[in-house]
Amino acid sequence: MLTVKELVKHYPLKAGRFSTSEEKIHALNGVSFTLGKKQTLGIVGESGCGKSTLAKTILGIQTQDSGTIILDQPDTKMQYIFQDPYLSLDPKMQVKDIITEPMRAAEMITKREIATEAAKLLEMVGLPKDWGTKYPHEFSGGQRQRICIGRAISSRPGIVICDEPVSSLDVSIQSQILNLLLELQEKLEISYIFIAHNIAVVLYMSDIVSVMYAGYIVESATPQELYSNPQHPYTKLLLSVVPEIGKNKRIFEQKITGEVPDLIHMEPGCPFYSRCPVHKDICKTAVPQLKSGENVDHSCACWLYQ
Amino acid sequence: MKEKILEVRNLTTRFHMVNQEVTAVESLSFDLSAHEILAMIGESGSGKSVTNLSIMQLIDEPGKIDPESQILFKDGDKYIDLNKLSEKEMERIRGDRISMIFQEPSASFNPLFRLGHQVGESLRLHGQSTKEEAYQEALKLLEQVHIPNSRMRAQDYPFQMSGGMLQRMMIAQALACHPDILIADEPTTALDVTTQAQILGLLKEKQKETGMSVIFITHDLALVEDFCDRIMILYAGSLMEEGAAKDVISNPMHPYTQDLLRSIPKPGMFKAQDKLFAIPGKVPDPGEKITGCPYAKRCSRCTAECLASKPQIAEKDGRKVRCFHAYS
Amino acid sequence: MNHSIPYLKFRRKKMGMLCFWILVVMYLSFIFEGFLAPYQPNTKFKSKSYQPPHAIHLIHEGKFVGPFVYEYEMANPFYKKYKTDRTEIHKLTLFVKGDEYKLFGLIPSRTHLFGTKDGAPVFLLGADRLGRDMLSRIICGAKISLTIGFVSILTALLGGILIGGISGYIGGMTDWSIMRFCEVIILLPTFYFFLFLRSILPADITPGQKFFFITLILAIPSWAGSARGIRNWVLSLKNADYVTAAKLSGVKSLPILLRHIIPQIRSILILDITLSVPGVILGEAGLSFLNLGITEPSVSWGMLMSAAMDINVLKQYPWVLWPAFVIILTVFCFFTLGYSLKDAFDPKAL
Repeated sequence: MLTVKELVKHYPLKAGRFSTSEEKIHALNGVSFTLGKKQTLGIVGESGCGKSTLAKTILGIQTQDSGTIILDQPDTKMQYIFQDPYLSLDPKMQVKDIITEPMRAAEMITKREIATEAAKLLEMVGLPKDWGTKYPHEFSGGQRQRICIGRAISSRPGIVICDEPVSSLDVSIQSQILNLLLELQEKLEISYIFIAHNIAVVLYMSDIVSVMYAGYIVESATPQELYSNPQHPYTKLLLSVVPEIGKNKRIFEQKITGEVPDLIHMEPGCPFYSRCPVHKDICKTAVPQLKSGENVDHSCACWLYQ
Repeated sequence: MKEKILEVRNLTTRFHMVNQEVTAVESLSFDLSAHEILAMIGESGSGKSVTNLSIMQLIDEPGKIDPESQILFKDGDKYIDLNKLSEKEMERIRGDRISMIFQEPSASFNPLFRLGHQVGESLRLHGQSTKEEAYQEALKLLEQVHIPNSRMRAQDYPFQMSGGMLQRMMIAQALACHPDILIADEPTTALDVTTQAQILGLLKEKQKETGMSVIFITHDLALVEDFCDRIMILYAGSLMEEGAAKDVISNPMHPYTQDLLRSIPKPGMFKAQDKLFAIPGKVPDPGEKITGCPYAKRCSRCTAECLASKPQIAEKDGRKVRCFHAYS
Repeated sequence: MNHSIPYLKFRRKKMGMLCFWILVVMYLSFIFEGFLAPYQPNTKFKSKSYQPPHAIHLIHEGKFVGPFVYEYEMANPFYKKYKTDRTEIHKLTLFVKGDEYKLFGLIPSRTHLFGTKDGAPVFLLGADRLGRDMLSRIICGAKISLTIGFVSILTALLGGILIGGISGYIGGMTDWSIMRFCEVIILLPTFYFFLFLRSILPADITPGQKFFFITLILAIPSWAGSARGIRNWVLSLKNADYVTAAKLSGVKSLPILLRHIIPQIRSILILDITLSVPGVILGEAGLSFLNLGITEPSVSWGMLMSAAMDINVLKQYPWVLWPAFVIILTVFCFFTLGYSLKDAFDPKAL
């Protein structure tokens, strides 16, 4: 459905109009993946790993420095679900106009049909269908995120990119939204790119999970495989520090060295080198490629396995 | 029985907005023992932050702490009611005996001053040392919170620091006066999971070293099981359940706690084989008039009784629960 | 009733509410000017030059007779000194017939709110050099003084929204050049700029044209200020998530600007208007005071003030200063209203 090859994006660091600084933020350093129909690609990583830049580049909000983004059907629509439902709905617009905006822009419906189409969409996302004349401020965070989802699916997109769709919601609401996303995927055959920092959520939602670090994909596998057989030291680290109920993990006793990567002054070797507990000499000088071993669906960019 | 360092009795804090009155915390009572880490867990509108701002007497207009509320703080060998102190007397307590750290460390530092001076500032404010002494003390503190190159980093400005480092700085600042109580308001929410683990480790280490008590506010139930001694679960301004951390997690009595535990995705759950439990409905709006149990509308055990009247807290074997139909 | 929070907040501001209603009364009064004013602004009473204000009396020779005035008689025609003639009373009454005027500019009528029963002239605020009633002239002057403020600010805002909106939304070099140009205009000393623009206007223009040009002249400096303000708002809003969402859905630039961005700054615009109108009213007053703005036979407050330019006139006939008080009151009301609104719209303020 979607093939992304060797995507690179470096932001110039400019202080002002007349700045001549040559420094760059290395947000994406060659990211490749494929996304199948009705499939969910989960992307997990910490802040500054490039996951949001990836989303923006795929959507075309930003242009890549190099690399290609190929859609199998060029007319496939893509939509985006934002992290904060308080910022992503126009406060001065009625919900029926918000939720049908992509349909109106694509001239799928006329002005007259807004009310009926909005009612259908509201029902699909689990809101009362006669709430179309309300304004966003009358809704709670979870309800707003439902409206955002309704807007995203209204124009029948092939791909929806969900960027941390539940991390700003109340804990007791998050699973509602996750379940709604799964339900709509079944019904409308949507492919998702599901981006989150919480590895538990990504494992639950995805068919394929890619772990990102410093603008690279460092490991990619099915969620079951990744959970039971993580290979990259960073994936192992992520799994060891994710809080887990009833496991007595004592995450506060984990030994974690090093700091988050510096995306401006990138070292030549593996980006995880400085924090890696098992690094070798070669890790300092060359970047490992993403390669799969015996299991073709499981690839890892680490010198330990190459 | 450990000695109690803080006793809160019937704390009620209301906000008088133009169009409505919001009761953010309703008649909340709890104790904090010495050397204890108490977790306060709740979603938006649960009143967890307001409770702690009330303890610090930092509630501004249009908010008001009910004058009947008592916040008894152990000062030497007698208890003083923080709610009855003048602002001047409170200034002596705040930052000195009780300190606080927040979710956004970047918002708590003045962007225009070097961090080293800010970290030692409270020492100077509480009249314990001169500017130079405070700075030297700050350097020691930065070392204690494991900031690499602390001598150099003390010369940095807040924007030059990562979130995790700033949070360390804030902890150093809060520990400067050796407080009896540290209130940590979602200290790791804005941080990455790896940094979160580091900060939790640091908090635990310092708590053990200094023997202070910690009130740890969070929305993340999974975080507190082995980190905290006791857990309080708040919902819509009321205490729902309280008990030893292990007990509450392994044997939740309130339906809310139980539902919450079931609805959090755990690593090792996959959509192919597991269905995530979702709590229906939404968190009550601020100012929403609730006559019965605040959780009644979302609860699977809800009966007519729950909608009609608010259950009282039942106490048994060190566990507290506010429910007519509690699990046992 | 479910009122919005800004409305509820504003309702608590006593002073702001008072000023709001004073302004409402002022604006209503110029709609009904012909009816409220006892005379037409240019009705002259030759023998009443600089007549002092009439005091309203109730009791004549120890008897209650209702509101009436005593006639003034010219005592010294050279110094325009008057003395009160207490022999005769002129009863005041409501709805008297007087000069003909057109209500709302359409309906011919002769009924005035009040006057004397016997038709003797009554000047509650005194008369000017030509024996014209100051009260009537102030009421009629409101029309130009109050509308010029609004019309010119609205013109300025329209330009400001358009130019500021485009500047902020397009960004880049366009934005940079437009903003530098705006800064140049803002930096020009406003009043000299007015004078300069006024001086290049042709002299032989009709009062209507004059009103039009002066409105434009007054609009120019405020245009640049608004454009800058709006551009800053657009800049901060154009990266809002809902704007990105609209872009992703394929909504075109202009609809995004009009539908998603401009509506957000509605409250800012209201503030901008209320806080800028007084400046324009003062600008008009200044120009007219120097006889460069509105001139006879039109009437505006600033023009009325020009009669008070001479200190000797002011000393002997202080009532010619009435228009100044009205201007001060209006400006005060606008500012108080503006700051009350600002607090009401500010989510952080109480």
